[in-house]
Amino acid sequence: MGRSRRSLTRVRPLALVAAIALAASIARADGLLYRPGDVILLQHLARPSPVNRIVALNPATLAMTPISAGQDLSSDEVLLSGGFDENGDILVLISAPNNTSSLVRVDAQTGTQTTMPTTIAGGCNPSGPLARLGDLLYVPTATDLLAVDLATGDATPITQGGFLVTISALRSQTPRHRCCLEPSKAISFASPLRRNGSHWSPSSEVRFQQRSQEIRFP
Amino acid sequence: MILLGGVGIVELDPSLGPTVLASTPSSTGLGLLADGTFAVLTGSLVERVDPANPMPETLFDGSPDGVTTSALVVAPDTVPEPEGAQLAALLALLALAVRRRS
Repeated sequence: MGRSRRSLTRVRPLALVAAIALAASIARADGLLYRPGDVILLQHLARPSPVNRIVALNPATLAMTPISAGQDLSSDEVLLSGGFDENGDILVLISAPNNTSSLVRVDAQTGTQTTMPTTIAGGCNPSGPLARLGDLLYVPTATDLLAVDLATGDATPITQGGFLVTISALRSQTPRHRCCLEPSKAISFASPLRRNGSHWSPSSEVRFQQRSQEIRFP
Repeated sequence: MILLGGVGIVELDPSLGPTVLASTPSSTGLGLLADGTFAVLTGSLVERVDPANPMPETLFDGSPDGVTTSALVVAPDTVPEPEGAQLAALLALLALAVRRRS
């Protein structure tokens, strides 16, 4: 009976692989600790014992979902700013001793935290959300947009002569090397720089478009 | 474009200049919500601010419990969700993958 049933079916490997990939994608999205549009809050709890935590707040229902439950961050550190990487994992920039900053990636499904191996020399004082694109982390400050090389920790201001803004919605989005702003969002820089290997130089190829809701990086 | 300035949420049009959309002095965090309103962080308070409505809505107040929010970000709306179309595509692929001979 089994043999005759096998003879009646035919497996198409490519379609099977595509189905498995799609199923994995669906499973991942279904397992996220936050929902799209949730407000992710970086918090410090004073009692019963000081601790830092990350929670997701649903702005429609006001439901709170702990993301870092059981793995809360040390209260000795200050959570400076947050953002997301291309996978939807949460990035948290924290202050570290010796005037440095470090980056923690929080898995969006498990809450597991991974501290990036490098620290950012000179520290950062972010004025808005982070965005990670490949090996670069973009950090808005009161005066510049910093590009932080995650391999070396080097932070380079990639704007010159811009004016002071708080970026409220800078975020990474697929496809890679593209960064989108939410409608009518905040960024304005005069002379962005282009990355050429480890160097940055002025270039017109990097466009910061104020009105088209999109900026492109090299 | 929208900024979080010293007076609050400001829309800056390069040709027209700044317009204050909502007064949120001392705010340190801003995010755009899916419905077009703003999530604003002020001290321990996270509020929804609608420029068309003068009364903000409290989303979270941590002060009674000693909770301070240092920053907020809004999760991207591009995180893939298991929508009906995706499930239908999955079923179609499975049907294509394992096809019964006629």
